[in-house]
Amino acid sequence: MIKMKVITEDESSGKLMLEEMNRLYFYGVMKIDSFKGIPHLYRYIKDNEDDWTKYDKVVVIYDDAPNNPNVANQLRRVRSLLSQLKLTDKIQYFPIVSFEYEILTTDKIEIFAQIATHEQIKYFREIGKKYGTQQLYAKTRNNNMFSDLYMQLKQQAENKLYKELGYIDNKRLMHHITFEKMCKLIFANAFKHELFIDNDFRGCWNKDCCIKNKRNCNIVGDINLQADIKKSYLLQYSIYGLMADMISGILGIENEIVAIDMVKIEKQCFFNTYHQ
Amino acid sequence: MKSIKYNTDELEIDLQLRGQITLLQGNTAAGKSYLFNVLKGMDCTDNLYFINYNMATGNENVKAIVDYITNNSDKVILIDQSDDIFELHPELEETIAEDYKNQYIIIGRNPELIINPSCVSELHIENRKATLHYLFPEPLTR
Repeated sequence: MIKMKVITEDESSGKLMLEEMNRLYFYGVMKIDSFKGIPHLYRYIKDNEDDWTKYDKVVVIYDDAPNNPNVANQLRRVRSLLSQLKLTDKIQYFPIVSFEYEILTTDKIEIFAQIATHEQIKYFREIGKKYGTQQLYAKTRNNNMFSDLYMQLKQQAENKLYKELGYIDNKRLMHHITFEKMCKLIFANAFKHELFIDNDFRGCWNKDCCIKNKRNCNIVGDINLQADIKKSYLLQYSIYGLMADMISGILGIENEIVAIDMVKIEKQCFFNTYHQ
Repeated sequence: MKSIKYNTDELEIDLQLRGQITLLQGNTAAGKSYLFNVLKGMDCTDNLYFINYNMATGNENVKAIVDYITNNSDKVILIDQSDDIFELHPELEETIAEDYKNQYIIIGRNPELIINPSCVSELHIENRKATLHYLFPEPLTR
């Protein structure tokens, strides 16, 4: 069997998604690790030269988000290093936009989010899929629906710049208000209180449904969902599902994950009174 | 996504664009400005708009460029010497970052615009044929 290592720039949520994918789809045969942020990719590859003999394939997952010139620079250095070592064929790149973006643009994810943010999420997904992230960034900045979040980001950036420089430089300010930060803020706002997918998939993402102890589940009404089913939903409907399909093709492992009856869940969510 | 295809006496041009802003990088004398000038010198390029350092000198000229960008859509705007232009006129960089109606090919080393790594390309000219080679794959999409 092909030996594969997957390395990702995410240290927390994104890495956990991959670990869950590995467990649920691939019987845990892959090695998952983090290079802890794009600035450290080149160093990581240099420090882990053994990987190239231990593994047949190394998959690199990184964020292809706008506003981050570090990404292209690091990838260029890595490419040149691997070319010198004649290891180019062993590496496979899987760019994603960012963990938060991918979850926010997952089909029907709003049913797990705060009701007040449903329109935001739908708009975000629709524009993102139709026009791409560069346009989404510009449109989000100019849309009233996001003006509070944008002001919040601007304020944070102004405070940070003022601390650093003692004055506000408008050009620098613009570069501090990034698409990535916007995604993180929309995400945090949408899933606060219950579905925030954090370091440990805290809350109900990591536990079987607790409706035995309560009348209703906060999220999906009276459907009793196991933790693995909830995680499978994220995998199945997000970009991570597509990634799993591609990895499955390389590994030659076919594993059908738990099928989810989304229609049933949606119906229940419609009657869910918790948010209303 | 748009593509730019022209056949001239000098070059057979086939540029496949990615995203709203494609960054065109490359070593000195790779032919970036040559390509810009070949396209600029053609008569049949109504959908293209060209900006270089000479055009972007003086506040009046920059204002005219900003007006053009604001009032047009579905154009492909090519900017040569972008590092110098944006250094001199950050407002132009801001206008481009906010514009979602037109597409851009930005020729420069490292402009700090909102460019995705997957949209960074290099120019290849071989046997008169000019194409863009992207350095990295496009992000996965559902």
